[in-house]
Amino acid sequence: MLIYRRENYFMKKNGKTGVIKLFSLIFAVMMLISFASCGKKDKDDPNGYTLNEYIGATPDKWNAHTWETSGDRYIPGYTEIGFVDIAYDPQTGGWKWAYEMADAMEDVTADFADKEKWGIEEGQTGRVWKISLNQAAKWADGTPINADTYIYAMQQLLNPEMKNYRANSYYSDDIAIVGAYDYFYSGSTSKVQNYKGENTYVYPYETWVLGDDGVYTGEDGTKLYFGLNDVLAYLQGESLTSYKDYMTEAQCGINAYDLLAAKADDKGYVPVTDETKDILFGFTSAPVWGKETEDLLAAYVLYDFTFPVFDWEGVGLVKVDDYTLYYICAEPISQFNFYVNMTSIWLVYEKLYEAGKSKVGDLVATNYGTAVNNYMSYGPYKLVSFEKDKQIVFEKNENWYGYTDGKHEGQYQTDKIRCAIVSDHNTQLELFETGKLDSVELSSDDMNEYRHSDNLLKVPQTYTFRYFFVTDKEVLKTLSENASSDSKSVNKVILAYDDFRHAMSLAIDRADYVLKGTAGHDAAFGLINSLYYYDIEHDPDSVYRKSDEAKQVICDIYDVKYGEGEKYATLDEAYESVTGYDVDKARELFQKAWDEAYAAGDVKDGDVFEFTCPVVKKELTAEDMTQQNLIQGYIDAAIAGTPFEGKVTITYTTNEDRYAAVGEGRIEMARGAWGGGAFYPYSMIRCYVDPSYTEIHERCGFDPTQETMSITADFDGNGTEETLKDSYYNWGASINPGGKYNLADGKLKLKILAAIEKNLIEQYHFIILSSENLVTIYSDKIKYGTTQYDVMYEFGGIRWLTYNYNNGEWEQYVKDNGGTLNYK
Amino acid sequence: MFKYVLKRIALVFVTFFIIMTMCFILIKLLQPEKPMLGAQAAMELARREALGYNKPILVQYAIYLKNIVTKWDWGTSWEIDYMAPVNEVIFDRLLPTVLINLYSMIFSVPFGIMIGIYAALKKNRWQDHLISTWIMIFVSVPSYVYAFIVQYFLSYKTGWFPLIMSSYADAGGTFFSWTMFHSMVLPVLALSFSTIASLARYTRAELTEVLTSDFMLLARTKGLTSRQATTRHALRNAMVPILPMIISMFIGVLDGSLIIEKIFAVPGVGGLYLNSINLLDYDVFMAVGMFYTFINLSSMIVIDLSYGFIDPRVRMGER
Repeated sequence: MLIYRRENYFMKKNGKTGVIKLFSLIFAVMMLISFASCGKKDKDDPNGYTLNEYIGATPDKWNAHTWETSGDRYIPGYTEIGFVDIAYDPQTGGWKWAYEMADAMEDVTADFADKEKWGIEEGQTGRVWKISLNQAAKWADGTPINADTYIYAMQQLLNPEMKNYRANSYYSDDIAIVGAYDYFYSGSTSKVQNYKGENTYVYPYETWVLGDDGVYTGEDGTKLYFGLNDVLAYLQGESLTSYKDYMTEAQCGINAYDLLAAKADDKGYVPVTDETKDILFGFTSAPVWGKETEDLLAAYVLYDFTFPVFDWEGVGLVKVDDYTLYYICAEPISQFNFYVNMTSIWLVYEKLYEAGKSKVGDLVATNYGTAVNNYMSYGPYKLVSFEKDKQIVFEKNENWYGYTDGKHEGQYQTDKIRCAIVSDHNTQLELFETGKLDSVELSSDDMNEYRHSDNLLKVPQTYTFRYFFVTDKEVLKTLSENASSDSKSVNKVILAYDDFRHAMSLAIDRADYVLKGTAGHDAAFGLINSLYYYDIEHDPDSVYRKSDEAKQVICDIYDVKYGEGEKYATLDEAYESVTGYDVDKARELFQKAWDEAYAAGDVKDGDVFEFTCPVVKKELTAEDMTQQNLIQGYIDAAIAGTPFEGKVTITYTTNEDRYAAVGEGRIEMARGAWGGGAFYPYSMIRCYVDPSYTEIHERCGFDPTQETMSITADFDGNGTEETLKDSYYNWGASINPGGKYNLADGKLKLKILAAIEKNLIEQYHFIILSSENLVTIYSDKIKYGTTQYDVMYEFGGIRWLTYNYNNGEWEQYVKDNGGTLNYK
Repeated sequence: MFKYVLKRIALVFVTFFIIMTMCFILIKLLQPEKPMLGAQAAMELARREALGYNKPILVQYAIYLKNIVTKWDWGTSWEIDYMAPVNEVIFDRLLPTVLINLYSMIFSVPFGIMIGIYAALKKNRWQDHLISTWIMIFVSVPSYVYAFIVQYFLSYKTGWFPLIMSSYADAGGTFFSWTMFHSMVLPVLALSFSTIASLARYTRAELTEVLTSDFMLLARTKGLTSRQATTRHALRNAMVPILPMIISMFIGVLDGSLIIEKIFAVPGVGGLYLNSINLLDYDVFMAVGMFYTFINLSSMIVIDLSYGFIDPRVRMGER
């Protein structure tokens, strides 16, 4: 009875009450949590103008001294500004220089008094630049910015203890400052390379002296070392460790790497002794390494060099007065290039920079520019909120001079910028269509729906995509053996045949490829696309691809003729007709390649030609698979009726390091792109011919320092043309700072550049595919300064962005349209 | 029991140390990518040298252990959050993940159990068949599919909920506001469906078995109603294998779902582990790995011991 009463006490007739009570309790807890804090929502001013945009990943450091990726530059794009800016000029429809953090910058080399101290030769120009600072410039907290601010920031940038990522821009690039290199390395001892390029050495092999301790030295007693881990210019940016798979008994008859490693210190340095010489020579003299002679051992040597102590007084950034600086360049530079380089500057806010410093290991680093509270703006906007992986918010910087100086009327209408960090493309698109984002980048799938939208913007990029190959036959043989099995004979050696690669190029229907496989790319036939200017300083219309020289390159490569008796009357007509697609010719070349390879024993009946081609680092997308299938289709069509029919496959894959993988001969091909430097294609071409500038992707089979090409031109300017032959590397160097023709007539440089491009393409160590365009769609809320893209100012930028609706009006507009906007 | 617990704790530390050593060696064996431009490649090599990355791996490990033991310093992030201590990197991202998982649990557990009970009570009737079919579908379909569906229908089409989770600033500077909760509903739902289905399935299975036991017949014979017998006897026995599952789910609130967080822009820990491997942010990788290793090892002890509390028949160390 007692039990029954207790049961009745807790349980009603149908037994549901306890459960209901449980649910009510849970619901109450949830509501309590939810309403525990009714935080005030940060709503935008309905009469204001907020730009809503997005990025895919959080920038992790935007310090001017350490930023690494383009993503890191997102924040400084709003919060910093250079000495000058390249601004859209709505009156002319062109561009102009707009002074910002400087009032003036002028070349004062001619009148400079202290030439001798700074190593300036008489008659030189473009060495000394007088920068008159904008005296109204302030940090966002109101602290004035003056010459001392710039001096401090540069001292930190070049601080040898900090090893700042961007230091090399100011000690070795176009705008290198006199003395900056010596200051950066001041007092430090490091191993430097014996090889100085072009077969010159500090300590040539024949001058080595055997010391009493059995270690070889130079004539001055400096000890010599082999470096296993050091990047060597002789190895085109690789180290001996990169090639350790070749330094084995199986490959070269001696376990060279292991034997040397056993004698190395913890940094991989091996003293040069008779024993270690013999070990290394056992490898370098092997067929797998090209049977080098013993004197070339000097190319693998490093030695200790102690840089002399160098004071700041020897660095060419000089304070003249509180608002005037001299910027003394190590090499002459033109005004245009100097101005371009000064569109971003090196300023950091001293108090926060110093407060953020700490020493980790031997590295001194600062966390300046990683959060709101350790960063200070000085541009039109300031950073007010930074939530990692979530959102970045900017507001107008009230202390920016531009809002009161009268020189920026009608500009910077945007009050606030809210940037969502959203990596999922579907979510990005939905946010755009519901009015939460003001623009979104489209993929190739999206183009099916948005192709005809009035709000579409095509943003050309400097990147030209290409397949690049291993063309070294021995390496390809090894790759073939590795891929083959008892039941399948995989042949990759065919890639060593120029005709085969040429045929692949002609088999690709680029127009079809860009239409069906990309989001708005353009078919590309040359290495340098139409964003590059060969002489923008003197001729704003000097688009490289539009020059006769560049057009002639394309016509020559694709064998399109013009003139009397030909199909096309003019060069322009011939150039416009080029498609790079000729299935019949491709088929012919495939047959030719087969015949040649078969005769040489490099292919046999029964071989299959399977090529693995990494195209991205991590994840293949649907767009990548579409592209793979398109390319496979083109190849299949071209090999029909040849012995290759049905036997050639290209499989896209991923690889974290595909550029190095091809360069080192670990994979036979990959797809990638070079870009950047739109105002100076002479620098960009070095990516293909200068191993000291960067790793050459095609280096496994192509050595630009050894292979030569000829150019016919009037080199002396005396009206007589002559033909000169030199290495690709030397030709590339000749049209860059310090080179023989760097300051020559623009037409000569153009001719040399065009010749390099032509000769590179005709080798078919790579096959050009397409030029990248990013396609974005923008909302009806915003209006760009111009919808005509220009590489100088894009669409006018935030400076000229205006609004058709303010925040309140836009919210109402979206509601009136049912919450979803249709731009299709 | 006490000895058993001590032994288990000691084993946890040994296992933890072994896993830590293996992880450290493996991550250090991965070759870092260096910049292609020569000058920056040299700078990156110099930076790595200064940070001690070129020392022998065991030397680096010894330094790493020494810093942990003497200073409780688990290292610094250099790639994900530049120069931030790794504990900051993790804990900055933990709260959003915990909240979403916790809300999901608070929603899923009662619903899942209730549905399972109902299905068990209606065994072999149409209600049971319908629920079983539904369970099968929801268990099979991955949670990111629900994510797309709820996002499309409940936000994009109807505008009832925001497409993505609100930012801290927009929610008024707190994670505990209505705005924030409202924006979390969709990821919570997306995570909950499969949990509800899973719990319902297990509850139904266990309860149907217990309901046919002899002691249930005794309970009815005693005079208890069907509902009294079910709730006071059958359910408690059925919960023996399910409660540990729920306990492990609570511990699992610390795990982030990479895909859900990506779709709803949740700034959580979901992608942290993967990013640390991709970017070779060694210290973050080690810290995240060891954090979850410790949580999982500890949770195993808690779950094991919970069996003893729930069912006295299985208490350890008792005679």
